[in-house]
Amino acid sequence: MNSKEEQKNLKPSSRRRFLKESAALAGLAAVGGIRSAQAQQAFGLPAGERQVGWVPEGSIPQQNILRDPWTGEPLRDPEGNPVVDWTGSPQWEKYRQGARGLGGPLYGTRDKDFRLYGYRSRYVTSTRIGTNGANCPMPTNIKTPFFSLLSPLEDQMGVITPTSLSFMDEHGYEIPDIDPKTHTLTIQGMVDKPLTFTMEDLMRLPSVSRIHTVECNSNGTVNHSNRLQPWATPGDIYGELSCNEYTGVLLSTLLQMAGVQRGASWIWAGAKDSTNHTKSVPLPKAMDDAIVAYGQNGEPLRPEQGFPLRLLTPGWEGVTNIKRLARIKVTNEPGPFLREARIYTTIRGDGKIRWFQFMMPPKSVILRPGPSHPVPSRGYYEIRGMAWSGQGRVRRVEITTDGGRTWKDAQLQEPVFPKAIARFVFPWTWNGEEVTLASRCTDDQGALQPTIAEFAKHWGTTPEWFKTPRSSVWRFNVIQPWKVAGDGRVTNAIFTV
Amino acid sequence: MRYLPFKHFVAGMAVFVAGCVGALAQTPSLSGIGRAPTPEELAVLDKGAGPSGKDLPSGKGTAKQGAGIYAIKCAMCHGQNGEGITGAPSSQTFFKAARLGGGNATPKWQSGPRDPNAPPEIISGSFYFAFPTTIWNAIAVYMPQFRAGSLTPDEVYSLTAYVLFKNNLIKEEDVMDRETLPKVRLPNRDAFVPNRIEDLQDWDKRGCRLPYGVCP
Repeated sequence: MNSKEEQKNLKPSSRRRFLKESAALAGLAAVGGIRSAQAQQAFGLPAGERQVGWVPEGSIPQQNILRDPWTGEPLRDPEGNPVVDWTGSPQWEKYRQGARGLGGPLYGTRDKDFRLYGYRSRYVTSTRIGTNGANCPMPTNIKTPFFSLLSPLEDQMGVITPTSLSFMDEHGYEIPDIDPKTHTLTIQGMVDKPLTFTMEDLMRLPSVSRIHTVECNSNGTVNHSNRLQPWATPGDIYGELSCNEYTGVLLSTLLQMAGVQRGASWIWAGAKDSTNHTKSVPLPKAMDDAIVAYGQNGEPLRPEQGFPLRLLTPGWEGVTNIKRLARIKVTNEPGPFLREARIYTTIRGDGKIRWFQFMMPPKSVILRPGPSHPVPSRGYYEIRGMAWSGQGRVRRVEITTDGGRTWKDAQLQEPVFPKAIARFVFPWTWNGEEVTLASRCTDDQGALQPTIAEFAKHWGTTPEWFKTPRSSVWRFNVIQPWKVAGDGRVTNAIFTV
Repeated sequence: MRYLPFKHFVAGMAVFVAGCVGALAQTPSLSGIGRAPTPEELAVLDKGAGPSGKDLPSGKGTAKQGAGIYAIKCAMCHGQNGEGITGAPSSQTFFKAARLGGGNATPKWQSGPRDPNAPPEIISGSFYFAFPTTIWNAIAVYMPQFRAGSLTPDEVYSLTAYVLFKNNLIKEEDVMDRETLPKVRLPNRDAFVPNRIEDLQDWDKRGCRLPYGVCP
């Protein structure tokens, strides 16, 4: 009954037919009974005998019968049997409960059908980090109880943040439920031809697919819960960061189709959500590398990241990456709108207020060793981490293993994408003594992460000022040190380098 | 498979490459994709105004009129007197609840702990923003939450006037319209650097790239 032996004995033309049939049947057999007598023969079953699990035609649920998409007629195989996809049918559910194939009961097929969309091992428990910001709102009936969900960076192994672990900041609290069939994007304002695009229109247009970070401008701020605590992990500190592959159409393509008029210098990008969040973006950025994205890590955007459409402004603060993008108005002045007129500005020591800063500065962080990855014994460890800059490519990452006295180059994983996470590694041998590790990043514009003393001077204050959680400490890109104690525990050593 | 003579292969490749180059040289036209928005759609979408006020629609309102609208449409989240309600759906930020009125101080750098005897500083939006059109935008584009953009121009002028009045920046009977609103001067206008909008996009002049990638 070995199908391979059967295969060898067949002549070439019937071999081809066998392969074609069995390929088709393998697909359908996985989802249901083998109905064709010929197929039964090919699989070594006695012809004419009904297989266990055979379902008479009258009992097949109507919605599981595959139909010709043009005529609506049930598809039939050469023997005249209807072609059936058993997914979701009661017969399939009954079969699946006891099946050891298709993943088996240990994979969880008893409780849930994971064929359709996979899941990870139950021994992998990494989850996003929830926070309500500094001032926790009271119990609420809002659907998404958390204001933001941070990415557990210490568990990220590569450059790409897994979609389900990508961070989310939802200023409006609610994630809208948008039907992509009715969603549109309108280009209006100082254009020759205002245009409205459906999702289908946008997906026809020339596309790009690029790997980019999205990062909140508060990422790393002293204000976040746990950030100053010794047990803070890289996720607690820098979790408002994710790096995904975004697929979409360049905004410049859409603007060229509409025809931008002379004198235009800004765009207003607006969302369709509970407050129609809108931001002003300089036109040169819109024409440079801004993407109107519909894809994230190979599948459509998740609702948390803006399904069905998102504006991506690579390297710029997360709030300009408008989710649920619905309109672009081309104009010659900024709004300013709410989230650039107050929050998202920073006050200086001399009382002046910085606004419209946009670009995210270079940052880096060692992921291992760390509070969740202590060093159990002396010997070799590969120090691993990530570095990123909104200004361009990471050019260089240096590591110190002696508290900042000396610095050596780490090895960057190639290729290094611009405005994306770069992965770095550094071989290290621990001799059992207490030591402070840190990383610092230089980007291709020449910007270098500051020490806390340098950053405090830039703010017109002293390092002490940052030791109390304060709001509005944005773009806090100081070097992040980690202390390795003699017993192998690793703690957040902020302010020591 | 029959053996393909090399010269045929070369000829075939030459034709193939020429075809590719020919195809790349002419980008196909994208016309016909997307449609013109209807005037109604444009009107719904086209909300918001820049500092010059040229995008402001026609209409007008006073703070007196705004008080009536406020009581019905805004007070449940923003409080009877514009004081803001903690925990309201709109208290979405790190800061206190959505306070609108009673502003009496512009933002200042806080180097040490606050003097407990000093009067409380209320830095409302009107005492932080650079332009009165930002108040307009907040009301016309963002509000009411869950019905964003549903107010008429007269309502928005009235409510903008109400907010300005509650911050003692205009009188209760001052009429706000497309001419008068952009002229209201907010107390914090000159705190911003760079001060002129025209200078905002010059990153190198602003010194944003170096030395740490953060604007000074």
